[in-house]
Amino acid sequence: MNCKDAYTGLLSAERPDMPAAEVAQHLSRCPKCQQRQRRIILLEQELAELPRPGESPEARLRLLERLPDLEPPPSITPPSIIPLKEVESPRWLGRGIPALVAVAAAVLFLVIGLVAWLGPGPRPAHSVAKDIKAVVKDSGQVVAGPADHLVTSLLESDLRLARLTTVPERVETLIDMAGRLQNEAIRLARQGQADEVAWLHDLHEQVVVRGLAVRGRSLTEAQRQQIALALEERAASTEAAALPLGPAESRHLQAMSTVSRQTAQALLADREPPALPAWQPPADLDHSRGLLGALVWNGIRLAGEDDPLRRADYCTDIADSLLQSLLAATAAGSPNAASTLGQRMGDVMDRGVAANLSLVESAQPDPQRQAELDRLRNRNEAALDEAIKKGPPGLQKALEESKGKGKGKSKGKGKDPNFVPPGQMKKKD
Amino acid sequence: MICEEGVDHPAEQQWIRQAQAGDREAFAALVGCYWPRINRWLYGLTQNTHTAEELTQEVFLKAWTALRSFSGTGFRAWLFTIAGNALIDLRRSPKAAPTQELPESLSSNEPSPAANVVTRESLALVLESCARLPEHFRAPLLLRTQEDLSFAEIAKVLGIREVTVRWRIFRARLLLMNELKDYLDEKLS
Repeated sequence: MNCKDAYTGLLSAERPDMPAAEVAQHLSRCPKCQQRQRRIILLEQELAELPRPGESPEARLRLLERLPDLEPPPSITPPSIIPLKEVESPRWLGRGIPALVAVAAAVLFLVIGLVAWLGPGPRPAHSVAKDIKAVVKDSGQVVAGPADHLVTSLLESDLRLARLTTVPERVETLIDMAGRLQNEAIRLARQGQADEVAWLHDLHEQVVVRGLAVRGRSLTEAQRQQIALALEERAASTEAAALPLGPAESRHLQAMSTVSRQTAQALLADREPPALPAWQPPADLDHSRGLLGALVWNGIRLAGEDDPLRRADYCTDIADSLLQSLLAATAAGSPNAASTLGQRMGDVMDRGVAANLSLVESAQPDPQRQAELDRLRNRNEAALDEAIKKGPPGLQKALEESKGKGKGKSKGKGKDPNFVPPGQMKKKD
Repeated sequence: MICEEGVDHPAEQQWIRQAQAGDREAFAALVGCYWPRINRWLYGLTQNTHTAEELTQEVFLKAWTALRSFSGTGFRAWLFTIAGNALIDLRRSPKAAPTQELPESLSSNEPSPAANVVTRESLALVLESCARLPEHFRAPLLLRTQEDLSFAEIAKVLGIREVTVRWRIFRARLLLMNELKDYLDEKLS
C-alpha cells in the first residue's frame, strides 16, 4: 500500500483512529501518513466540539404547548425509518408538471391498464407478480441459493435502471451491480470454481467499463472522484481476497481488480475508459450464464437509455431470458425454480415493461412509435402465453386467473380476445 | 423525568412506550434528551439559529403525531430521519433561502468569552469551513462526528446507501483537510 492509498483509507474510514489493518500497517512505518492521521483525528474532534447554536429557553415550552390535545392517532403510519425524500424530481416529470400529479397519472395508467387486462369482473386489480407470488408463497417451496441471490439482485438493479432518470442514480446502481458481481466472484473463487469466476470477471468488466466508466464521464469532478474511490476500494478488497487463492482463481480476481483501478484512473483523469472489444452475451450459453449475461447486458443498455419505449424493449428482452430459463427449469423437472423465475418475469412485465409503456402512452406517440409499442405488447403477450402453456402448473393457474377471470374464458385455448397487457388502456378503449 | 444531554438513557424505552400511550411528560423527557442534538444538526445544515429552532420544533411535533407507529428500535435514527425530511420540505418551500451566516453567539457551555479569544477564532475557522461544505457532504459528516452514528445508521437516516455515506464523508474530510491543513498542523505542533 502506498501513501495515497493509505490516505484514502483514512479519509474513508468510519473511525480514522482505528483504520483497516492494511492502512495501520502502512502507518506504522510512514511518519508522513501518521501526521495525516493525527490531522484527521484532530479535525474530527474539532467538529465534534463545534459550538451549539443559541437556544431560546421558551422554545421547548412552546413545543410542549403546541402538542395536539388528542392522543397520537394510530392511523398515521410512517415507517420506523422514514426514507429521505428525493430532492429532485425525475427529469421526465419536469416541464412544469407537478411531480405528484405526474406520478399519480403514471400509477393511474398502470392500474387502469391492469384493470382492463384483468377484465371487468369483481376481482380487484393487482399485478401478475402478486398472483404468482401468492402461488409461490402458498407452495412454500421457494428456495433461493446464493447464486440465485445474484440473479435477484441484478434483476432488481435492472428494474431500478428501467425507471431511473438521473446519471448519478444510474451510476450508483451500476456500482452496486459491479460490487455484487465482484462479491460473487470472490465467493466462487474461494470454492475453486475458476471457470465461473472467469465468466463473472467478463460481466464485471462490462459493467465497469461499458457502464460505469462511460456514464461516469458526464458527472462532476467531485462525483467522479467518489466513484473512483469506490472502485479503488473494491480493487483493494478484491486483491486482498485473491492473495490466499490458487493461481487460476487469483488471476481472474486480479484482473477484476485491474479493471477497477484502470477505470478509476480514467475517471479521475476525465479520459476515455480502457477500450473493450464489442460484446454481447453469446447465444450458446447455458441458461444460468445466459440469464446473468442478459441481466448485465440489458442493465448496461438501460443505464444509457432515456426513451421509455426503448427501456420497455430492453425489459422485454429480460423477460424473454427469464422465460427461456423458466422453460428450461420446467423441462428439467424443477417446478420450484420455474415458479421463482415466473415470479421474476411478472415483476419485469409489471415494473419494467408496463410502467414504461404507460409513459409512452401518456405522451401520445406518433404512428411509428405506436407501431413499435404494439410490437412490444405482442411480444409480451406471446411470452405470457408461452409461460402459461409450458410453465409449471402453479404458474399456469395464476396467469390464467389473471388473464381470464370474469370473462368466462376456458383455460389453455390461446389468446383471450379481450386480453390487454398492462399499459394498453388507450388501445383497449 | 429529566434528561438534558444523554442519549440511550436507561429509561428511554419506557418513555417511548409511555409517550406512545399519550403521556406528555414522558414525551417531554424524550424532547429533553434529543432536542439539543437535533437542533445542533439542523443548525449545522441551515446555519441559521432561528430556522434550526423552528425546524426542531416541527420535528418533535411530527414525532409526537407519528410516535404510535414507531417500531420501538432506533429512536435516535428515526428522529434524525424526520429532521432530514423536515429540512427537505423547507428547502422546497418558497420561504427557503440560502443562508451562510456564522453563528451569532457561541453556546453557553463553551469557555467564557474572557477565557480564550484564540479558541473562539479557531472554532469559527472550523465552523466556517464546515459551513462551506456542500450540504450533502455536511449532513453525513456531522452525524458521524457529532452524533457518533455509524455509517450504516447514517445511511438509514439519509435514505442512501452505506457506500454513498462513505464517499460523502471521504469527500467532506478531504475538502476540510485541504482547507484546514495549516491550522491543524499549527494545533498539533
